[in-house]
Amino acid sequence: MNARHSFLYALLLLAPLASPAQSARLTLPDFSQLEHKATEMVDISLDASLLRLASRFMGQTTPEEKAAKEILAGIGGIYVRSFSFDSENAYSKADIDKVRRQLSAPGWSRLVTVRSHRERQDVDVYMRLGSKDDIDGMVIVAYGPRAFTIVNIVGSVDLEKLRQLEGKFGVPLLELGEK
Amino acid sequence: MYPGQTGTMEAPAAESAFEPEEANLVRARDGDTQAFAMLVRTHQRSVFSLALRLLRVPEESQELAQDVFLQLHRNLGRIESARHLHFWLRRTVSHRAIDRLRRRAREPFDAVESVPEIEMPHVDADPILERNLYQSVVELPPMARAVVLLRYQEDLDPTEIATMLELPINTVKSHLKRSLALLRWRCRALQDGESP
Amino acid sequence: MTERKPDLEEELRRALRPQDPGTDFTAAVMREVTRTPRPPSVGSFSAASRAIRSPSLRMSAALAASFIAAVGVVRWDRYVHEGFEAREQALEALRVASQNLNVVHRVVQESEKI
Repeated sequence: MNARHSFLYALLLLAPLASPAQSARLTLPDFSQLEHKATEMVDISLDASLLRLASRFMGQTTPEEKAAKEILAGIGGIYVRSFSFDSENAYSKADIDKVRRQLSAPGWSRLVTVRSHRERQDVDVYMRLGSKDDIDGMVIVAYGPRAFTIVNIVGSVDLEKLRQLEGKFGVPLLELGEK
Repeated sequence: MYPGQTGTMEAPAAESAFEPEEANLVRARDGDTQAFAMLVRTHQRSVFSLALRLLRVPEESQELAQDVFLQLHRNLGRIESARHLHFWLRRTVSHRAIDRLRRRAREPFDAVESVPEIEMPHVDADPILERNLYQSVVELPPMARAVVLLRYQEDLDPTEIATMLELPINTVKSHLKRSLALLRWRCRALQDGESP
Repeated sequence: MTERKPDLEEELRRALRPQDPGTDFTAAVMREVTRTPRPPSVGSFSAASRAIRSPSLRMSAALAASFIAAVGVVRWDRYVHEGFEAREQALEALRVASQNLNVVHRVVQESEKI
């Protein structure tokens, strides 16, 4: 484990334990009123049974599906809301704040916040520790003047494996892609 | 529903392009086999090319394309106009090809060598770029590939593609944007001699 | 001297110009068309309805079996369709998550170089 990972895991050890009654699944705002304004949109809600179904239809023959299947094995739900617009201020920051307020509940810790000038967005990553000190949830909140993304993963996820997945899809890693 | 259907979506401007076909369609509906043969000849390149670029296996593509025309023959009574025919054929071949791809156990993403050699039309400008583009398109995931083909082979706009493939318009735009970015990157990588 | 960059969309249209399926294609379609008559139009409905009105017991059982098999096939098809839909969505969700993690990774890496 490299220094960076050690640092991230150290942060997790300091995080307060979650109460068993609380769930790692967030209540996401209703963004349907943004659909007609968006130039791109991703709206995905997959609970445990749909993820099991999805996994059954993934083969072992391509690197990305093999890696995805491994990642999905520990996940009990994945919820994505991602919108891009062709003008600024098309969405309300209040909706993003509603999500972040839920992440100040016990158990959630902000792992890292970065500001990306290239993508013109801030990205926060949160993790949640369950009652047995294992990771049982993750949230990514990325927001900028013309786009936002919220990813809520319920369950245990290997951050590094998930990060490396992008390169396996044949879609270029951001370092190589054209902007 | 298809674009141009009366009373539903906005009627397009260039109806005159379909007039010669309207007469053939009427005669074909009345049982005129020569008129039906003319419809086949008019649309066979588009239907076959969509099938070929989606399925990537020439024999299977021929079989599917022929089957689509047979299905058309059985359903001529439901075709309302030449514009509807245009839409119906492209929609049917796209859906049937995507269904076939889904029934297959796997869809390889890489290995340019696994894509059969298909004779490309003669080109003047940059044969290497066009070949790289062609290979890159046929390696896209099925739905993204269908969207790209309907846009750049059939010249449909995103709204028409969304109706045809029963996808939200934003999903279509997403597929187009991602696919173009990928195609740009892959072509550059292939031309520079790197492995994508 | 500046080299004009090819317009990707124009090049795509050129690369994807439809291809001819071959000289035999229309003939092959028409051979099948002339072999298979078109289904009866509304006017000849009565002939079909007579057959349905007086099935034998054996025909009833066969029809029932076909119906059950058909329902089974429809359910299976729906299951397969939903499975592939779920797969596509799961892969897309993981891609989005992965992309954003890579933004973080890159920014952290760049900041460590300073």
